[in-house]
Amino acid sequence: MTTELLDPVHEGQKYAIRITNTSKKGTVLLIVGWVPKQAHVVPDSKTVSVAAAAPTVEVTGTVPPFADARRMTVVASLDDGETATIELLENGVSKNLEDITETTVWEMVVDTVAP
Amino acid sequence: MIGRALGFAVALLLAPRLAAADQCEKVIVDALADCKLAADDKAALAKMTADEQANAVALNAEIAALERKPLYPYCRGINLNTKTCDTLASAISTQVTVDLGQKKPLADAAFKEAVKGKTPADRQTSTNKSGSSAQAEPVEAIQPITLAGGSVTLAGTRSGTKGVGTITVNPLAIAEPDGAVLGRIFDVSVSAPFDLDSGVNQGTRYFSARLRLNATAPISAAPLQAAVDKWLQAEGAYADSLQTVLEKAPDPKTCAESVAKTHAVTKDACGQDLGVDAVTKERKVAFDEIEKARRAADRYYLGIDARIDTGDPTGTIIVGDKGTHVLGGVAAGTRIPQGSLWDWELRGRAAGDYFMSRDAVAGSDPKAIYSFDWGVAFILSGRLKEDAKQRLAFGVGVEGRQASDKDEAKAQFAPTNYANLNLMAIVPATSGGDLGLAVSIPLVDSVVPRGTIVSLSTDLGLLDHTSTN
Repeated sequence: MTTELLDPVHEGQKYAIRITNTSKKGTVLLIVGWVPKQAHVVPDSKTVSVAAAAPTVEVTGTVPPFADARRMTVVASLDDGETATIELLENGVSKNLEDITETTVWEMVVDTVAP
Repeated sequence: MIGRALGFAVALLLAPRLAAADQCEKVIVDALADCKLAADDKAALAKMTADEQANAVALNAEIAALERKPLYPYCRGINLNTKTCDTLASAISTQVTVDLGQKKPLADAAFKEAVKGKTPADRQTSTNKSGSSAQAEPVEAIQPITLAGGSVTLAGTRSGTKGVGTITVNPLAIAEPDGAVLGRIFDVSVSAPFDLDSGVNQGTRYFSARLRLNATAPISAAPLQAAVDKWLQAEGAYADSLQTVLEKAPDPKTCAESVAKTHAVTKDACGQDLGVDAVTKERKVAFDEIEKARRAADRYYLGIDARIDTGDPTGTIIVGDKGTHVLGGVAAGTRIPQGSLWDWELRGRAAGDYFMSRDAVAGSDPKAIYSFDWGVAFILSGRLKEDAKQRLAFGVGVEGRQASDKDEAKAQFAPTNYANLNLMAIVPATSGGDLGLAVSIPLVDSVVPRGTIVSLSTDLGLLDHTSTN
């Protein structure tokens, strides 16, 4: 399993996580969740499963307020031998695109928007 | 005067926090400066020839030294607008895997496109023709179809050659294609036979509908969701505590670097200890649940098989079966992978069947016939090559139905009290779909014998995930 800390995401911005199961067989699970700050309320995590050869699945939403959320956490869970491609977009702009061969966790700090 | 006093009080309250934020800001700014220097050095190195790179000893040494710095793996994550202990805690409380190697792309676009076009979805389901003369599989699964499908079957029966058209739709999967759970819950099928010899007439008018409801989908998602949310809460609580530690640390840089390097908060580096047991435990529980959920996805099912049929499925040659059937029961199955190509599958069903005859032979005031309906089957399915889209499947099973009142069922010539041996072979068809050959041989025939039924069906595959992109 690999955990990576990627570029921050920014409160109030639209995000999208795209995942494609490029394996020939098996299910890839994608979980998108938020680490809360000081017990503030954050959106519930979202889980999708993607079968082999399924079309690219996209999970979208709005980054919660800086006061509420510390991090965005994305887990792509793969079985041995499976492969997948995941991409993070903020406001339609790709911020990270990766081909993965093992379970991968992406962490992004929730930041304020630049003044 | 009061305003000034209030302002002074607020300033006093905020002062320690601002001061703490400042000391973390410096940690972030210094680390980012190292990140930028490393990036500039690498860019400079990249512009050199291979010989120059080999001779740039000092530059390589500086890059190596910068990469060894504890906060280097966090370079991307700390490129923040708000540089405070709050955001620093959010960043360094992650359990980042330190890997300085360059990730290589695994699959180019052409490969991905080829994979998408040629491989089948793992969940191999088909249109639901259970219980009709069009049934291809020895016992139909209740795993819902991926999106929608259609099939046409020719069935050679004692009463002639029948055609059966079936359409199966998974409405939730169509409405919510991204859902992990919704698309696995249920589908609905309608079938209508047509008589190839004489077309549809009043004597053969028949309609059937099937519902298969897979209860394992919502059940398996609940513990996963709960474990993930609990883990994220624990991560938040740990980062909250780390923020406080950083704000109070005698030297926040030493503390932050120690945490980044060891993933532990120690008194030596930070002025106080902070346990990570809670977050480590919840993280493990969550990942165990994720693993379980992924492995379980579509390998097991347990749910409801419901059918309603009305009319005369066989016409006037076979008496006694004109009427209305309502069947409801439970069905379960498990798929056991045998390597990457083949799977064994075990299926079973137990149900209650209600039959109200409208056949003239049953008399003017027939009684309802209640039967126990059952079936078990083994199926071997798979592909000859990993890149084959179409599957092969071979199955054998036994299905039967026994009435609670055998004498009444016999008197009405009701379609019950039988057991059939069902054999199946599904082979690839040139169209990209598949062809199914099924033979149903009576082990114990009904009071009005049906004889052996041979069916040839093709799945049209109107919609599946491979055709919706």
